[in-house]
Amino acid sequence: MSAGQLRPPRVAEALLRKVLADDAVGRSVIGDLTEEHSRRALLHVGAARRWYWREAAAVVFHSTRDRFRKRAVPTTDVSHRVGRGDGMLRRTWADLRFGVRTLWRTPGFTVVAAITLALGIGANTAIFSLVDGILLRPLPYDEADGLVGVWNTAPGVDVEQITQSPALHFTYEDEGTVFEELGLWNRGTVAITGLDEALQEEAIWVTDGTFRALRVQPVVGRRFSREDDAADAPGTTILSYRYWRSQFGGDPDIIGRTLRVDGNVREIIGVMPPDFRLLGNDPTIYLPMRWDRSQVFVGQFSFRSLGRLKPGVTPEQATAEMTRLLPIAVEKFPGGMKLEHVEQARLAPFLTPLKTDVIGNVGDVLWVLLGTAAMVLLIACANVTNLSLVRAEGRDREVAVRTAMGAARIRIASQFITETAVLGVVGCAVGLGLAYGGLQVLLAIAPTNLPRLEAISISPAVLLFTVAVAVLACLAVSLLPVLRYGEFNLVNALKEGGRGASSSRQRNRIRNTLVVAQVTLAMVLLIGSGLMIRSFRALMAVEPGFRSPESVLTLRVSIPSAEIENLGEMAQTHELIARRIGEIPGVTSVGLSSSITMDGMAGFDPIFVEQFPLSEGQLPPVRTFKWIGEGYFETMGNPVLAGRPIARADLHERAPVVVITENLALEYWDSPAEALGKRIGTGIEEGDWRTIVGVVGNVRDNGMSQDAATVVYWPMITRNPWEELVGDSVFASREMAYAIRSDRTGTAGFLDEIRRAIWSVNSNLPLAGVRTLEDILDRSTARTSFTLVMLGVATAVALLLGAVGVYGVISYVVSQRTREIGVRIALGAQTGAVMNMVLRHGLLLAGTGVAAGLLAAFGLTRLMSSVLYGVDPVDAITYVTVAVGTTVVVLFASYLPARRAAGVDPLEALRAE
Amino acid sequence: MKRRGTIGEFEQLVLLAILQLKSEAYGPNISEELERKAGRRVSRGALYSSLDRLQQKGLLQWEIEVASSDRGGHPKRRFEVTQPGIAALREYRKALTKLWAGLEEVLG
Repeated sequence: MSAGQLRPPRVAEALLRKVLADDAVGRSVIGDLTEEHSRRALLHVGAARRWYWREAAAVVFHSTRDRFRKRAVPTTDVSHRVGRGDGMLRRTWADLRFGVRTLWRTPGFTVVAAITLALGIGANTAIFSLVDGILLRPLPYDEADGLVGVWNTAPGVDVEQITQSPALHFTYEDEGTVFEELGLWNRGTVAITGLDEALQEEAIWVTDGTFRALRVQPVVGRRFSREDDAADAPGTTILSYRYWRSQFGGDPDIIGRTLRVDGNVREIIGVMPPDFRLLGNDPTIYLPMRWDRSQVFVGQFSFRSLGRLKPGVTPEQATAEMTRLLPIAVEKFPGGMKLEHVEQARLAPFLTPLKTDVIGNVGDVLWVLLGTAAMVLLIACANVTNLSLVRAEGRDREVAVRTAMGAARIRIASQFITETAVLGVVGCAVGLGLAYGGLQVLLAIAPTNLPRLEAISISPAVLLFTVAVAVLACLAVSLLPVLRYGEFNLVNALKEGGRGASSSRQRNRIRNTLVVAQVTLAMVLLIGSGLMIRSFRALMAVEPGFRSPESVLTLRVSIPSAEIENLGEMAQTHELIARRIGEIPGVTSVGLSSSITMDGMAGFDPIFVEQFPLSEGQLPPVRTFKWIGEGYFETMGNPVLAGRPIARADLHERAPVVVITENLALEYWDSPAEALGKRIGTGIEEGDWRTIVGVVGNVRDNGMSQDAATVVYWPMITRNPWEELVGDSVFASREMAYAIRSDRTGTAGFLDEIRRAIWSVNSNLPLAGVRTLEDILDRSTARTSFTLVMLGVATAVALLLGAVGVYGVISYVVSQRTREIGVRIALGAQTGAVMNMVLRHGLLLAGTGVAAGLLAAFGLTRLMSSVLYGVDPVDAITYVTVAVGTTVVVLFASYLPARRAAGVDPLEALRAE
Repeated sequence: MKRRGTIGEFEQLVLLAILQLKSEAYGPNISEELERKAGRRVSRGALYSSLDRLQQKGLLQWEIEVASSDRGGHPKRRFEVTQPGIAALREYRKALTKLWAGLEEVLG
């Protein structure tokens, strides 16, 4: 045996040193243990070590506890404790300890109640953190309250909300007095070349006022000045923080370096802060708009605008001034809309709080979800209340004894509240854990187009909300048991078996009411979920204007003028790339379009119809425009209903032809075939006619839940309809989307082959936005499926809790009536009759709950009509299905106790008394 | 809750064990004495905690003695019951005696 083995375990000894005071007393304790350890080690080393560990642990425990007690009660002088025995704190402390002990003794109740509360609280916390992060928290800009979005409306041409025209923007900026700063911005993509690899990156163009309005300063360098924004200024750019870190390694000497953007050299003048987002957008670079004011006219309503109101200016005052400035804009910037056009369109500016621009209509979904979570909490509370009532009944005698011994009612009540509070604290803690976990899942499945996701967290506000919810839940849960003891009948309770007939009937009434309430709430949630399922199915049944989206890969290629100047050559390059991609094995077809369905890249312009001339001063309607190459409809799987698609010859001959969608054809003619050969045009005025050569199926270009867009498809290279305005005789889109149909979509190496095919034509061309058509489709249905999943989960929890509630009540009643049932059976009641009796009770609960639920759903589902699609909030099929389903579940929940009742042995039942 | 001047049952046993051990009242011995004579197994942690408490109540005191080799150089604590400690024990015995009086028939 070595000397080392005779030494006590080092770790245990170190632990003791840490815990014990470093004085003679502390060391003497270690000495005692060491001495005895060495004595014991002579007999058995292992046993001695175990002994040392055990004793050391006990010493650590006791000395820690002693220290804690000393701190809690500042003096150890026993005499001081006398007379303080009944203080407020002490009483609460005693209640607390008693409460914890009682709960500990009934683990079944405690666990079920705590989990139920945790589910309710957790659901609310998780959803509220979304509501808080997205809807409630102010935007992350300085004094964000003063920020507004600037929009226009034109009810005269059926346009509810359109973006800003540069002409109006400059007029407000020059002549207006209400804005501290105004900014114009829009998004797009640029090719960044000259670095390792050509890349297509997201960019945002801003006027110089944009960053000033948001009061944001770059972390490095400066923001755009008025001079940078002038039309003839040298090119400048500001990088996003993300791009600065990833591409330039956070180089502090970045200012003054240059970047090739769309073939033009631009000087880097700044880097934005890391957490800066322009209304949720985080582009790679920012560019100044550099407007040439001589080219501006009242029109081009395709720019976003934001501004900061001067202190003290109300939105109403600002709107009034902007409206007054409209005629001045028409005068200042001629060449676009004339004054009579403005009047006819009833063009009017309006402001929105900037926050609305960021969060859009997602609030509808979130409030519905929060309402759902609140209902789950109510159901949870009802359930726990019921459990507490049953449990309280079992404790009548305990309460009676305490009352008899002089305990005041308030003391008994406070005891109950304390117990519930303990449950609440546990529920709150577990609920927070659930919420945290749930939130991670939520954020993972949340639609990517949900705004402000980066702002979502369990913040102090969320914690406060959770505590408030928990406190309310506890109060709700302890209310009934406490009230019950308010009119507690001591004598009855003390009697053996204590069955005051009247009071028990009253208690059953309370319990029944609670169960009915649960069934009602669960019904509302079920109907909500049912409506969401119907919406989702309706959405899935919609013909989007394409087939089997999973095998269509889409991407965008842009050919900057610095690469190929000539438009004809440029368009031919796109065609060549498409042909090369078409040669890849496994590719069925390739289509070119300036915008793929639902990608949000389509243009909007007015159309004229030769057959239906406009009356004097009447404005032409605005329709969706896309420029396509051959093979587009075939690739997308959109059928040609009449005529033919755009052919290759149309492109080369610059043929004056167009293809339109069915709904546009039916707007003017009786059938698609009738539209063929008719002529439509666009541009500043009538005259530039193009022949309709084909009609294709409708496309849901604005999303699955929106009406099909009315689209005009132009050849991707054509005679320019705006020649007199812009001077070019040919029009062609430099940025084209490629739709590639292949069974190999999504397989490894396919994208590489496509990339090689593109670069075999021109190695300087970046490709961007690679995704399948299915991704685009999913994005469009994401909000509906997200709401569906959330409601589904909530409903499942609600239904489960509801069923447990029904089961609990019926079984309790059965157990209370065991003697009566025994007597009935003894007197010859048949099994069936006994079961029926119990089931009738269940059916009564179900019936009342379902009826109330139908009524409540009738009122409440209206609130969710904005998240529904293709289904009426009062959808008979959903209502009936849910009513029948709920009844079945409730009956099943009562069937189990009913069977038990039927199996009661009369002898046993009577003997038990 | 303990009342003024009174001592708990275990504290009483500890004080008695110390008196029994006379000048040999060291921690390990007290633990052994309690187990041997009173059949009470007690962890060292609980024992030291009680000893500290009794000292704070003024019922016992200790002396620090220098280390011996088999203690890893750690000092030793020898316990003594103080006058108030002895008084408290007497008080307790008096109460017990009074309560026991006349119960021989019942308790044997």
